[in-house]
Amino acid sequence: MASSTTGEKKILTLKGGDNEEFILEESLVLQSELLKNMVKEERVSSIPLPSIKSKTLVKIIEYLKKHAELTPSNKEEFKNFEKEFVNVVLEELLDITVAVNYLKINGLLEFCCQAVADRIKDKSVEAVRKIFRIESDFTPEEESEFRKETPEAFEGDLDDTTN
Amino acid sequence: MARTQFEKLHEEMIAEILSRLPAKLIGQSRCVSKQWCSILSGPQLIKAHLTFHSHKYEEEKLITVCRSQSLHALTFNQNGNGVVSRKLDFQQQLSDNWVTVGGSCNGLVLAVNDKQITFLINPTTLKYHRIPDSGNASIVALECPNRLRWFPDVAYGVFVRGIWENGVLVNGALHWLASEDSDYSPVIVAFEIFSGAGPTTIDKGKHVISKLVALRGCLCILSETEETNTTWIIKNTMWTMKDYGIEESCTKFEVKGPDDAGLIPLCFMSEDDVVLDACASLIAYNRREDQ
Repeated sequence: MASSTTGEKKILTLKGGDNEEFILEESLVLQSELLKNMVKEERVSSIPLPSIKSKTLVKIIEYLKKHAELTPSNKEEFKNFEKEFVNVVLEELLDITVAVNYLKINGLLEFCCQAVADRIKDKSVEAVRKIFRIESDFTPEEESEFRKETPEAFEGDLDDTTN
Repeated sequence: MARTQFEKLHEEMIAEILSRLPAKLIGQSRCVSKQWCSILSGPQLIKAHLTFHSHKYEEEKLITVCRSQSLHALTFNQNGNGVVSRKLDFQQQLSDNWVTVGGSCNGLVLAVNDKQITFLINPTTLKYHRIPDSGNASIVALECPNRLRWFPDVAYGVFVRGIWENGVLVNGALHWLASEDSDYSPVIVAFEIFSGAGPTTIDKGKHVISKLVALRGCLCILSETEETNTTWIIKNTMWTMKDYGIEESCTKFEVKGPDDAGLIPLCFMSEDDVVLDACASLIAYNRREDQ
């Protein structure tokens, strides 16, 4: 079967990384450039997305639904929703950002990138390394040079626990 | 196996995220790792950062020369009341004998010292570059169309003189005032400096334009006189053009200052407060309250 329909609305199945299935209206996924092309060109009814965790997919579908309901009158409500949407642990936020980038949902990508940037804004270099689990690959000489040049980079908020 | 979190993001995305950081933090984030350093030094990031921040400044800064001939960075608080002054300390590498700030562009400042040597300064990183004193060297070659008569000082050294002193860089196009042969009323001429397209002229109706300034990525047009029927009223009228090239997006505000002339807007303090340079003193002007 190529596609199933209920009334006028086309239904599409998205399969997350752990094989969980999500059934939703096709019109919703058109916000994603990637899925839009798949749906339009290949006329598929089920799209496997093995690289995206189901948990992440749930969040993204939640966003797509809210965004589709956006009207000038509930703008404020949507803003609050967006704020809550990125209020998750950094690990999850990065998962979402990567998935959104893959799916090419441009508006949400902008928002996620800003949210990640906000997370590292007040952090010291050490904290940023800790958050992203980056090992410094500079030599001790280079490292001390940095400390001399921009001492303030190594001060600031050392706390990485809020993430 | 736990992968490091940023491995999941490819470089393009790291750049996308980091371009949203304020300039000061970009410098700091270079210390995180070699990969970050290379991403943060790339031209792509710089471009993305400029596009992003030219329309949304987190804080507005102003660099001025103090009486002691040192350079100071003034930061205005969001509420529009407080001003924080920070001295740019070059730690003996450059002496404090500054005479004037020639102009600024994309966060870099052009300062001239008493020996007439010009330095390009990044006030955030305090890195500087001495501009070679080659007189009227022109970095960008422009073809002068015949029908326009340029103001003599604009014809030379487009990059050094044009942008910094005369022309105004907004949206990748260089703007300055020129007058056509038959008519002395100046028109705005725009050059796309990267694509080389242009010039195009922007018509601003019956107003006599006296100066162009860039404010928050918007072109700001100043006019000191306005023709109303038969009388001439001296006014300091300014327009800011928000959406580039669309005249309807202009917001016009008039300044009724104590002095009739000589007010030059320098920067926005907040949505409605503009800092004006009125003959060597700084004035904060609130657009909404008109004071």
